[in-house]
Amino acid sequence: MAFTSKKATIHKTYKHKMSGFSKNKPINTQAENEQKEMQETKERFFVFIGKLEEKLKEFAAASIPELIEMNHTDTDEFKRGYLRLKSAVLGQLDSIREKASAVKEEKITYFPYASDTLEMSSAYIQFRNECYDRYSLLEDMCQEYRQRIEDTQVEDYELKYRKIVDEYEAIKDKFRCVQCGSPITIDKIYFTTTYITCPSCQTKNTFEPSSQAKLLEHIGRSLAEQRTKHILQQSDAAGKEERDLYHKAHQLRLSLIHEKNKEILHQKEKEMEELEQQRQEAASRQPILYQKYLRAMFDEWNKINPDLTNEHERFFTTLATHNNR
Amino acid sequence: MSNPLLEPIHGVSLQDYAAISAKLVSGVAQADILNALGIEPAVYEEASALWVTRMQEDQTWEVTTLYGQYFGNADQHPKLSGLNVAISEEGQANLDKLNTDRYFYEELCGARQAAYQYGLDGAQWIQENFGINLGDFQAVAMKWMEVQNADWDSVPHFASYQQQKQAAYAAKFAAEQGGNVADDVVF
Amino acid sequence: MEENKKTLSLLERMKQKAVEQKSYGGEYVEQSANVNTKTCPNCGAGRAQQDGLTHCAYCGFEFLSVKLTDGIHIKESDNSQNI
Repeated sequence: MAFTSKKATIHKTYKHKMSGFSKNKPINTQAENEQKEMQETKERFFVFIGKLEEKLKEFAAASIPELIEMNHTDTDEFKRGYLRLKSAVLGQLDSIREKASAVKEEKITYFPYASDTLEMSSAYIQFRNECYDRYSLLEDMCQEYRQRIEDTQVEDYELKYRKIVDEYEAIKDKFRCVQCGSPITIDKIYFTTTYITCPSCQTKNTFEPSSQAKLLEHIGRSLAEQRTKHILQQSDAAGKEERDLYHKAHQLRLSLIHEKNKEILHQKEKEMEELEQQRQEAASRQPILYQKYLRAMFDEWNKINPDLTNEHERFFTTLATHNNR
Repeated sequence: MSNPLLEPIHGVSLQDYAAISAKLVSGVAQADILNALGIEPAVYEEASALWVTRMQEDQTWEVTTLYGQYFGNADQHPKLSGLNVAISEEGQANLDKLNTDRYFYEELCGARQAAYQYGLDGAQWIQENFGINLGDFQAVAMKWMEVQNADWDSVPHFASYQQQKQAAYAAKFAAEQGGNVADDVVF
Repeated sequence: MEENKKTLSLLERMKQKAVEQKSYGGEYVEQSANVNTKTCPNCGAGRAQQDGLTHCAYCGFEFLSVKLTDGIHIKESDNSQNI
């Protein structure tokens, strides 16, 4: 509220200036007031963001152990209770960021000032940049905690797969033909309902796999991805390396604009050349690693669910030709 | 049929598969759906697994796009159109409105988003509060998506409307849970 | 201290809501593997291996009203021939 009244004062001073009364003093006073106001706003904004950061840390610190616990204890096959809590926790993070963003827009982006001087506008730009930078620290923190919260969503696909295999071993000789009672062997892990012929009476029995076995194809891909994640990370690292090197070279290029010293120019150009070479090397390494990852992932997937090998291979071809990460 | 990826699998066409999926999400019993089509679970489960792989290998998005259209038009499927779950009178009125009133549709999309942000199962929340099941909701969504694809100019207008509604529902859900974590932090 | 309490009680309420809520589609029920067979509703015979899956080998009753193609385990050759 105090803010609105100050805005009114500024407006009044401005009118005063326009009407030609007292030449220098009011303008100076006005500019001084506005700069003071800016300084105060900045200080308040920094305190405000700091408080939000404290809240964020406190809330995340309390939530993460709860999420880990719930991820462990949720007995639902798809862990829907855990997922709802995670979604709610992330929603609170969003509410903190949105609150900061709304205040940033209202108090910083639309900070009212009337002084029409170069000094004032550069002061405003500096004020705005400082506040924006402070805000982006909060955003970074939100991002970091968001990742940590996402990281609580772990699923042990090895264990899920092991359960399917163990179950298969336990049931494969357990069934008898519904028609004649002779034993029927389930010859492999089926993930869809299928017809199995009785070796004695030739009746077609319908074998329906358990709910967990029906998820084999789905779990298989996640497990294959989990088993080959390290190669994907290498590929991603090469991609990041390339971007970092590009950025470094770009910075160097910018620093050359005002450089007059020939020796330094020469040295920096050489440095840029080296960076470019390294960048190209990383750039060529990345797709090779990605292809290596894809191949390894699909090999694993085929091992887990060999019945769909042909289909996986066609999917592989699609990804390998159209998707260079 | 020029695209071999669109050939039926065990006689289950893409239209059948999409309509089955839509009916299942709506809550129709699988046995009733398969009976109407004259197939057994063994046939359906293979076809279903293979339709997924067809979409994976589809480089042109044709299969996925058509799937979406068929899903949205499940009620026109020759053998499955009559299979529906019970819907309340209010639910039917809401569903009709969802079909004809874009603003109402955007409002419920915003509401559903907000519900998820506040830890609610959005699909269940819509079902409980508006009597519309997820299958029907998604079918309407497919239709509005087609409308949107034909008129890109109106996208920002409706997106901003949806955002407004999302914020309003978020405020309501926040109040219900006793506020947001940083409510006491003021500028 | 007071602050921390507020955060904890909010989190507690969020947790309760996440757990107690009904999920769309209901609870997940794990079903175990089972074996069954189809008996012809027309003549009462069990489904026999010879002559395919789509029709009853004895009376020709239609079990499946589709034409089977090469799928995962079910193949085109599983269509009944003598119909």
